[in-house]
Amino acid sequence: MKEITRRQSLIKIAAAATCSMFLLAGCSGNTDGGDAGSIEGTKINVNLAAGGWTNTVEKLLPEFESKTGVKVSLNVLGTEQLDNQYQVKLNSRSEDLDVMVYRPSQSTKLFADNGWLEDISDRVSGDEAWKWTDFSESSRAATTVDAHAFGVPLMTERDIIFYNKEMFAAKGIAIPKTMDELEAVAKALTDTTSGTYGVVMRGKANAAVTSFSSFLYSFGADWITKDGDSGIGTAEAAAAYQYYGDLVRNYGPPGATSLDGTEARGIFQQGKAAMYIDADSGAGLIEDATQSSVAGKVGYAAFPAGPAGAKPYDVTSWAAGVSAYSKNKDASWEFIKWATSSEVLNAAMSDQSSPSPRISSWADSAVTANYPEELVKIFSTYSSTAVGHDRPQVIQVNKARDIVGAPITVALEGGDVTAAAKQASNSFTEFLKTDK
Amino acid sequence: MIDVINSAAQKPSVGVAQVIRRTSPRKRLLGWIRAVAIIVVTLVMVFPLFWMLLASFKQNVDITNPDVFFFAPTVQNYINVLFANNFLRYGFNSLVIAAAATLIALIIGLPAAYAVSKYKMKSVSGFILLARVIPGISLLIPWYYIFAQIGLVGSFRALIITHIFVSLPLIVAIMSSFFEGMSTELEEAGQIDGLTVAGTFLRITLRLAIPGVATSAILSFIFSWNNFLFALILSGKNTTTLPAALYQFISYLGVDWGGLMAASVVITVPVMIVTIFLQKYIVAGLTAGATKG
Repeated sequence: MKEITRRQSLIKIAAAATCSMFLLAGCSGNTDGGDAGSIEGTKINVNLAAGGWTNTVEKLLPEFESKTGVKVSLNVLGTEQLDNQYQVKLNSRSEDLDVMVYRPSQSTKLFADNGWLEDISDRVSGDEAWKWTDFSESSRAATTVDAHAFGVPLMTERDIIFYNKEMFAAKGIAIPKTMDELEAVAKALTDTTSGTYGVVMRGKANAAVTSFSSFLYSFGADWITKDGDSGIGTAEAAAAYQYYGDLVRNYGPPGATSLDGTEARGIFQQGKAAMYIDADSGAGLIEDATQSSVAGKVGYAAFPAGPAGAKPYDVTSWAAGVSAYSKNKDASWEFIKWATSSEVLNAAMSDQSSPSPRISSWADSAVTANYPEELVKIFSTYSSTAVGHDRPQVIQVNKARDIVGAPITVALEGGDVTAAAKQASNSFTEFLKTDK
Repeated sequence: MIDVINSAAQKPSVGVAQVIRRTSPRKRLLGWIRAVAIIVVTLVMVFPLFWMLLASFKQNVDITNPDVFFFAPTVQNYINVLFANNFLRYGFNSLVIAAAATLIALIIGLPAAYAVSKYKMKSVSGFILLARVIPGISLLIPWYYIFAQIGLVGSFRALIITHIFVSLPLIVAIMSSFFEGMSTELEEAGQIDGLTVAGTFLRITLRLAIPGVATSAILSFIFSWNNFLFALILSGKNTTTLPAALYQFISYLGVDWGGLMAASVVITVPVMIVTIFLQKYIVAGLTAGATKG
């Protein structure tokens, strides 16, 4: 009898605890902020990812604070930690996020769909001097959903070939312009006895989706067709998977299926690979002599043409938006306006090699003086041919990447690519039905 | 060896030398196997730490180099970590949170554990331990919500409270079985001499239980010191702890391995020192707890 009462009391305690939690959760009472008055003295929290543009903002921040009187707290995090934090804080409608730096290709749909980002369409078009139209058209498209702007681009990326000039010169080899030439060059520069390889690229399925995407487009396919169906079941897509897998398996370092972007670049930085095909934003690290033994010996070339022409990705990797739950929206917008001004974005590009989304940055010789000249040329040629996304444009991007990345692993291991692509396409079709 | 001598002593009919000759090759072989096993396990355990230490003195270009031992050492990583990245501040935050959470958890947990062991409330102890079974992430969202409502997000208080939530059950679980294993005679003697129950606990039981207290305090401290998840969500700019700050070295474009490893050394060393220091204390506590005539 005593035992029973004790257990009952435990259950009661547990029940009471659960109830109080729900009660607390119930009294949310969210009032929409937005003070119309002066922003001086306002404190804002800015969450952002480590590296690149962030370093420049950290350095120049006192200038903004003294000019506006806004007190800015920068919370610098790793990319995945940033995502986790947004998930937790935005799910509980937290007011302590003001400015959110995020990855448009990964999050725009999700954030816009959940109403987490403030619609800043009026604000971006309202300031002539700041000039929204100076941002490249594709970068503006990346942060816009149904003609509503949700963020301002901070950094762009293009898929290019990094090549080791010394290795190319030693064998008198020319830069590949087509997929066939790329394969021939990779073959000629692979020397397994000395441990040097023709090409290194991402191979870890989820991570490789972005570097594979340019191949997919250049072979004449896309992740999703114009009608909204899976696009990876086509013969063109299978040919792209096959080509990517063969190239990396035959002329890349062993263990490719475990390489993500950082590791693949590491192999190129050690001078173990003649070519590295990935985003041009990595140039800063490759040219840094404390990080890379090939600094100063690297050339840059445009992505080669496939059966459907050269269609590399040209994406906006980072953007800044205002949290819909922020109580300091005016101050947050002032911060974003300052942090995406020509001055700050130009400084980020010349000091941190962070490719600017502003067209004017690329035309300014003071900015590009510190930037590889070949990359500036590539920027101008890409604007007409490139594709504005490097992964499926869906809400649950990570899940989609797992699905469409699976055939890459099969191709790298030399398996039946056509069957794997068919199977992935079926799963992707199912996925697209639920991703709404 | 003692076994050999004992068995020899028990069987006087067999010569001592004979016994040693018959059993020692096997024993010696076992000894060798044990020594090799210890060395292998130690190497496997220590190598990552060793690599971490080496890498913290390298430039990034040398870290990815397969040549592990030959490089031009640099202390730049430590300079970056301690001065540019403000790690001293993060260390201070970690220390405040870990020490406060451990201390408060001990103050609440020790009497609780005593009560659990003396009044046979095992099921309560089990129920409290549930808090450690629940994955931290599932607690975080409600916690975050509650702390946000009462304006505690980013404060030391929020982090200390959450750490207590996990440390307390650990301390109660360890200490209740520790108290249970202690003899009741001294307590009874104390009570005969006029001490109250609380008095017996404070003046006698607690002092005899110091080795147990030290053990549970170390475990609680290490948990707090290493905790990343709670700090990620609940800490603010001024209360960031060391494990959360580590992620500043992992940027979108690449990992600053040198800085990351130097920071890891900075995080690991204090815990090692605390553990070594308190371990001595445990040994001292064991002998101090012996009953004297």
